[in-house]
Amino acid sequence: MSWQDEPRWLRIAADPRIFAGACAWLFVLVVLGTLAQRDMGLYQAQETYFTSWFLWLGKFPLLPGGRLALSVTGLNLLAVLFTRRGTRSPGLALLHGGMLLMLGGALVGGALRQEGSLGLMHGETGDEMRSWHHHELAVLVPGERTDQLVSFGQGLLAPGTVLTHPDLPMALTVVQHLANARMKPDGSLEALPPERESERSLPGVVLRLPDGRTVSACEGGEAPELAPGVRAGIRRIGTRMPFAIELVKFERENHPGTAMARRFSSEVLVHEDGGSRRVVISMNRPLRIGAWTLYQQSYSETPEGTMSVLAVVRDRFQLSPYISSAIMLVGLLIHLAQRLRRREAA
Amino acid sequence: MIRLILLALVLAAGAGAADAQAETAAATAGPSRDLARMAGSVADLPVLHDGRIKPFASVARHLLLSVSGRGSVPVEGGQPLSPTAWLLEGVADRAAATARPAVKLRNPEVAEALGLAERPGLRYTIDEVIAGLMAHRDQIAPLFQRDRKQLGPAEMQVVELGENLAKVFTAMDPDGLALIPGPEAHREQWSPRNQVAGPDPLQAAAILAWTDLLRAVAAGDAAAVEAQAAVLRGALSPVSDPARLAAEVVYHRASPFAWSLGLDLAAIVLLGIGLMTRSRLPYRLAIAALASGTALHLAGIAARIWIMERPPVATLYESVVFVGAVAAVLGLLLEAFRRRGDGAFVGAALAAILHAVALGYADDGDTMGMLVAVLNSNFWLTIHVITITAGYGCTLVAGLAAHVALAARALRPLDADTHRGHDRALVGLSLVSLLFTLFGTILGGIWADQSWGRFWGWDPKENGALLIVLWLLMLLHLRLAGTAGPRGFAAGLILGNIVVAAAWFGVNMLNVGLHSYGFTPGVLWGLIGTTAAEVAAASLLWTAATARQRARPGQA
Repeated sequence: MSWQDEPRWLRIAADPRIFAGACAWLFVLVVLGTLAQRDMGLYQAQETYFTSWFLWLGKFPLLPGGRLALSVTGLNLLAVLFTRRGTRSPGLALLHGGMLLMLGGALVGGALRQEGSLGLMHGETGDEMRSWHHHELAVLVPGERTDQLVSFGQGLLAPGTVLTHPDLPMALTVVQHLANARMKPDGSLEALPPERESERSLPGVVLRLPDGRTVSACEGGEAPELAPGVRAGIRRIGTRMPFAIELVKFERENHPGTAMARRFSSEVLVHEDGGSRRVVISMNRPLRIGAWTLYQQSYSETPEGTMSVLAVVRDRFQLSPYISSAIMLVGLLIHLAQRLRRREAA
Repeated sequence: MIRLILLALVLAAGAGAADAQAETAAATAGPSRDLARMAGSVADLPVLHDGRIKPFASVARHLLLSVSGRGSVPVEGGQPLSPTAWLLEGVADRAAATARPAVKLRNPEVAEALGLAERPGLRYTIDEVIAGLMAHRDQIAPLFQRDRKQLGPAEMQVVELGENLAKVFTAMDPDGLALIPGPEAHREQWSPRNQVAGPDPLQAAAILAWTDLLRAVAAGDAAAVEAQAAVLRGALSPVSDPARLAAEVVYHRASPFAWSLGLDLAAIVLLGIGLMTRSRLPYRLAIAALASGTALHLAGIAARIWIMERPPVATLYESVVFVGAVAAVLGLLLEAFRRRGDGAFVGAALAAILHAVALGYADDGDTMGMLVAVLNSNFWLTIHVITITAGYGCTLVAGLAAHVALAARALRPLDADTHRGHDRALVGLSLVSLLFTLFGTILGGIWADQSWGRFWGWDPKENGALLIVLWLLMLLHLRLAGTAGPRGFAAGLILGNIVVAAAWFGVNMLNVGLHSYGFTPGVLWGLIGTTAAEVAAASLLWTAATARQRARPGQA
């Protein structure tokens, strides 16, 4: 059975020209997205060009985005595996299968992955990782025995939305939602252009209370009082981890005689399931607990001392790229070996 | 054949050794001779500089290059001073050294800004330049406060000159350089003589020996200097690595990469001669030259690995040197298969071009610098970097081979066998390139995942590598589909060189992400030039090859 005998729809779906075309379009997207990073920062460029389904012109989907191009590539690879030509050579079959696995793993894993940061000062313990990019409005409502915390994710903070909750003593109307803002001395918010490094943006929100007063809250600023004892604030979304990390010591070693860091690491106590253990997390040596991984990301000098910043990732599919790359490597090597043998025989 | 290669190797090694001798050879009479001899004694003494224990000679080279861009200081009526001799004089007797014409300005505008009369060669003494800076400090001081990116080229040079001169001036002091090891518990924290409080026996011995040595330099007593240097070497050997220090001095003197460049160029010339004559001799000599040039090239890399105690390709400079070596080796391998001279040409040409680029980077100072924490030795990082740079090398070889293939089609359209051979070679080369670039990119992801938690972050450098992979995948699949024939495929590979150049150097200039080294106008012009040249080459060669084929229908 030759290529021409395959059903027409399969021949079209498995056409290498589709793959070549998808590669060409991805090439264009990567060039545009990389250049765009200079002005809009990495996170924005990623959202616009690479992880999007379309490139939008206003509300109109103008061109395929990275995710669409990669999906087309994936379908093309899948189709190839159903043709005789694609599976005739075991090397190529493994190569294409491995790449399909990698794309699939990236799609699924990327959707399920959770990332955040954990900043700890000396002696501090934390059990929540904070999102890098997403924030929430958190309202603290004091109770007789326990306090309640009601939070609204950033998606709910569109201007005009009325925020209500059984535990919330009043309804709040969102007047303004800013991606980056600064609290002015008089308590109102000044809108700022978004930071290139999106982690540095400090979001803010202006709320109208039922009595007509407006209050403003901004990340990093004072939490305004909505009613006696009821305070609201903007913070990065927290995700609880199944363990707590206590920073015992942060160490930094410079190359001798310079200010360039040679090594920095955090000695921590990991508290989980009633037990504790001492671990050192350093550059290139992360701490792994099940699907959670903690990396020494950076540190920052604050007036109160040095804060060690750990990057936290929860990814149940962390092995996917390793497995798929191994399959691809074996496939390509087999294919190359067969080509060499054919050439010598010729 | 083997004998020819061995002969060439011996000649090259001999030439390298002779060159090293010349550096320390006695010259004409006068203070220069004694300084030269004294310099020979102190060259390998350890100093802590820029975070690393390095030989005195390396510190001297770096400081002299920073203010003159040249490897020696002219002396009226005598042999030029080596950097070691110049710095040694300066440490012992600053006034004498600052009266020497060690500074070479890059731009007459800078001389103008300092109020100095323009001279041929733009050579000035340190005293003259400092006087100029002080006299015009009202205009010059504000330049240091401004944002670097807003300075014009001449202003930037003034600022750099000021900063580098300050470092030289500080070093030219008996208590300027960190010559003494730290106390027992912190041996690696070296410091200048006068900052050692309560010296232990080892420190005291070092302080004493250095003091006597510098006094002997000022007095012009070369024998005493030699004796004290020997004492110092012995005293400091427990806290330094004498073998590596000596090796570094030899490495810089021998300049293996400069010699390799010369031999690669000779190979190209010989191949050209071989095309024009009937004799096989020029061809054989060319292969001998390329082989010995490559041997020196690899020896230089091996020496760096041993001296720096880290795997190769840790910096941009090292990546250029490494890719050149990959290209030369691949060229020789291709030549072994085909024996037509085109493989050797491609290897020699790429190696020579990359050597020239590397020498441009080397002029900036110390090529053996320290790395930031995240780049410190790590298994995945090492494998990744070696694989991806091998990928760059293979892709560039494929691109250059494509030039040859299209030129052959244009010049000898009837030689179908050669064209088929070229075509097979190009497909094979691009598959090998795909192997290295695809897995180099994936390994980069693995390293990133191991180090900071994400396999792929759309960082410009990651994107650059991805672009090369996408380009190769696109070309190979167009070829597979029959949409691109041998000529179109070759033209695509030529354009692939632009993608490699952009991924390798261009991304560093965006000032974004983890791999940014800052904007350099020279690099930008190099990239623009490369792009223009390759676009022109691809268009012209493809058009010529197509026209010739159309004139002779029925050819593959």
